[in-house]
Amino acid sequence: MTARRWWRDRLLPVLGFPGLLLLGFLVEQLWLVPRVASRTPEENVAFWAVEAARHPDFAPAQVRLGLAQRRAGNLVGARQAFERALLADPHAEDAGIGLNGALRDAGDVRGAVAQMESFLRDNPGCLVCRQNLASDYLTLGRVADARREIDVVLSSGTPPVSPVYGPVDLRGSALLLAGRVYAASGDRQRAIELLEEGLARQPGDLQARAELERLRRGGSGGGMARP
Amino acid sequence: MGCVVATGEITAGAVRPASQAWSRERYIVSPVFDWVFFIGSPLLAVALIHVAKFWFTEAAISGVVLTFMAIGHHVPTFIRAYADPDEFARNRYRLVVVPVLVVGVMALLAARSSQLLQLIFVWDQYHFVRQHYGFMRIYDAKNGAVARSGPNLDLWLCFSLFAYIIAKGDLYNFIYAYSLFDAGLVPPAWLGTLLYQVAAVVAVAVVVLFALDLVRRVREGQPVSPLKIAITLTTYGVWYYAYVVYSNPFLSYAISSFFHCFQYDALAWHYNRRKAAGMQQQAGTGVFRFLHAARHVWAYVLAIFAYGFLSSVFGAVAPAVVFVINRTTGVLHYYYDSFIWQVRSADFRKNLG
Repeated sequence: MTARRWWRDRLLPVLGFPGLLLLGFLVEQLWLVPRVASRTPEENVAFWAVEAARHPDFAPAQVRLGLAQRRAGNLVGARQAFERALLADPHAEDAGIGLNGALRDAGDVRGAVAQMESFLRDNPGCLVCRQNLASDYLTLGRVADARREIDVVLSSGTPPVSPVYGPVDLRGSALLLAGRVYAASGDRQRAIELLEEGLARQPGDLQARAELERLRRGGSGGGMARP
Repeated sequence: MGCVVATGEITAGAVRPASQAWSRERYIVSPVFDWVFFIGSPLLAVALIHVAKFWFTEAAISGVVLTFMAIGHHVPTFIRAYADPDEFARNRYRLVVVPVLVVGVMALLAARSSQLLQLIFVWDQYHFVRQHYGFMRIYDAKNGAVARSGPNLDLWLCFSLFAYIIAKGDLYNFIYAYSLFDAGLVPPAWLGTLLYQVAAVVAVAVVVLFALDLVRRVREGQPVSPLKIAITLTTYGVWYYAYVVYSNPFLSYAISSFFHCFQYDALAWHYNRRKAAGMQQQAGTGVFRFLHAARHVWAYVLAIFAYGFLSSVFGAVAPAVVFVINRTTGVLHYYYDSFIWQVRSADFRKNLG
């Protein structure tokens, strides 16, 4: 077998495909990642403003603009974009969640709660919404309401890893929030169990780890908001 | 290129009277099977997903389709690649070494949150179109229609129409925009409009050429497969509906994925069943023959759903690991499909019946 044929028949079919993937990865890491890192929030907004204008009735494009505006600190612009998304699709969970976040960032937690309660009336299956609402209730000190909402999330049969958001462990963040809610409601033992379970899934959450240590030492926990 | 007639014999390309051109409705399996699993499945997907909306959320429907169908349909590829001794012998090195290397690369991509994992969906779409082109080729082969200009025009039709649909619809416009942007590439604002205009002109031109070629072939008495036309109409009609008219972030892809997987699983089962029926009882063929015996169709379906189910269950315990495994089988499914299903291979055509 000649070297050329050996390369073509044996080596290329075996190494060509993984090599191509690896090459793509190297190009991304060496060339594209630095480009993304150097982008300013304003550049993100400019890009998504054009896309949102091209697709005015397509909720996901408006949501991306809202997220870019929110990261750029333009909370009014963010709120308007999320509201446009909800007009285009009243069931767009990302838009409901985004609007809730924009209101909270603006310091309007009561407004955020009202908005999320309204969204959940039309979209009762949105567990991320319910989890965020629990977090907002906790911020407002409405511990019983927070506990009711997080219990619904924990008892749901929804896949713990969202197929929509990729390998994001929604169950882990729900458990950590539940731990905080139960700590705030005074159920220290249950709070410790929930935080331990949550940290087993998301060991990198240092805030939750610190809270767990406080509870183990006999503290009441900080009752911190959203994980 | 020769053509396949009913006996599996290769001829030089038969010419028949015009009256016979449309008369050879040769099915891959049977009229009912073909219409349910292949030709009608795009319409079935639309109907089932819209009915499911009465009871389930869009995210839940999308999750079920992605888990049990999209992930599950990697299984027939692996059965064919690893349990069929002939296929394994033909590609031994690739089938042993490539998965080991790919799983490592996928783990690396996942660990670095690489946007390449997102960009792989480009291949997903290419893979959908290639499958449809494969069906066109199979129906042509079944009908003895192998005019020299045919396959290339078919390929042009497949890709130009799909590019037009993708460029016109909000959904994929958006998906491409954010995938490229998140990966570090900023497509200029005018590019989307230009691509749409070019895609529209090319698609119209190709449809006209395809129609003229069809008329010419009928006039000359060359065989034309009505089933090929039918599956093209249902597939592209549903793609247009799903991606342009409906343009739903959760369900458009679910519709497309549903019928892609449904067609794939059914074709793989039919092909492997015939292959298994012709196999001698020898060591190494047991699993393949068992899964493809007519009375064991349940085992085949169970194997497909089991991978989805196990992914869902273990995904709760170790999401990152399951994510890497699913992405690896997905990428290998695309890659293996490029060489384990070859309509031009005489062996493939023989086992297709």
